[in-house]
Amino acid sequence: MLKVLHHLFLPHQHNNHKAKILWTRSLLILVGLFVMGRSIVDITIGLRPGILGYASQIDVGKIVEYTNQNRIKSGAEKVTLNAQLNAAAAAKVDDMFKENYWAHVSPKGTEPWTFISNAGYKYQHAGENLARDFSNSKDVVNAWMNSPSHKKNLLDKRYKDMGLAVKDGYLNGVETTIVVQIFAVAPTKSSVGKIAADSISTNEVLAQEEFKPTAEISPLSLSKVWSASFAVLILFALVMDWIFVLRYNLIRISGKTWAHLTFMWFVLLAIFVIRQGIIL
Amino acid sequence: MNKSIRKILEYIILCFVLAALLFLLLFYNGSKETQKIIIVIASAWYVLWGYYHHTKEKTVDLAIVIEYLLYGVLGGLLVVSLL
Repeated sequence: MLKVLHHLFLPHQHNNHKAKILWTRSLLILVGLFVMGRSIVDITIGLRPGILGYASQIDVGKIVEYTNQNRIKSGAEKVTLNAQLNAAAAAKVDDMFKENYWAHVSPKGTEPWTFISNAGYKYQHAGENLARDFSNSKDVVNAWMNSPSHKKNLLDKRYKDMGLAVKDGYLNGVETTIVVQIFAVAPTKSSVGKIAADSISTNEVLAQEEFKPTAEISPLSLSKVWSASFAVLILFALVMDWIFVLRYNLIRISGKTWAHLTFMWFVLLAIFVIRQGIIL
Repeated sequence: MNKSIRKILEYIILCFVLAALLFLLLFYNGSKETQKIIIVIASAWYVLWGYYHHTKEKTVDLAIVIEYLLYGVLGGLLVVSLL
């Protein structure tokens, strides 16, 4: 075992003074292994829906707080949670899980505004922001703020009310957390009814403000660990290679270890920097 | 230009560009398509940098280009698979 590890990770005369794991052939095998591992995760999700899950700690109160902070900064008024809009948002999330879709309009053609009207909120203008797979409230609001169309909704000065729902459920067999944010303003006496929409849930949604991580394995964190393991493995081999090349003053026809180290550090940092949430 | 200064400069440029791309990845969190493009640019940049660097060193050959290409592909895959 030690001999194998020595051969894999340390340069010496029997591996042509280059750790075997850094050989071109080995790198190709690593690419294959990586793709195979990812495929196993994807196939597992397909065959055993629910075996891999995802749950986050998203707090409705925090989303309201961050939303209003951004609105105040931009000169817009604070929006207040509206019970009817909360109910509409909750109904939208339930519908997404029930019909297994991730879109503003359901496969049956139900538009977001239908949920608002069904909740009894009469609106003049309304808008809807969606998010999924985020692990905390701040990232959700930041992602919306980084997207021009979502930002426009979030900072729209016309809106007075907001509805929010955060729920756990299954989409395509994978447990996830969906956030629905609806903005709306009720018509004034002089205004003409115009479609817009959004709503927030009342007691029902408040009961789901916090989601504790479940004991199940998140496919997202599993993917991150899988990617990071490969990056760390190569970084380790490169560091050992660099030390041995320096120590024994080895001269080889090969790529530059320092350059590979720099690039793999970039890869490892990128793996940790990337947040996996999606907005719509 | 002195050879060692040129080498240092090339490494500084490599680090600087990768750091800038990392910052862009952070900035575009939530926008997966943009992040995918950034990763592809980073991988392509690394392969091109390797080719340029070894050309200047007069040590470029197919095996080395393939080595950089494999690092680029593997590194890109590790990140893009998360998006």
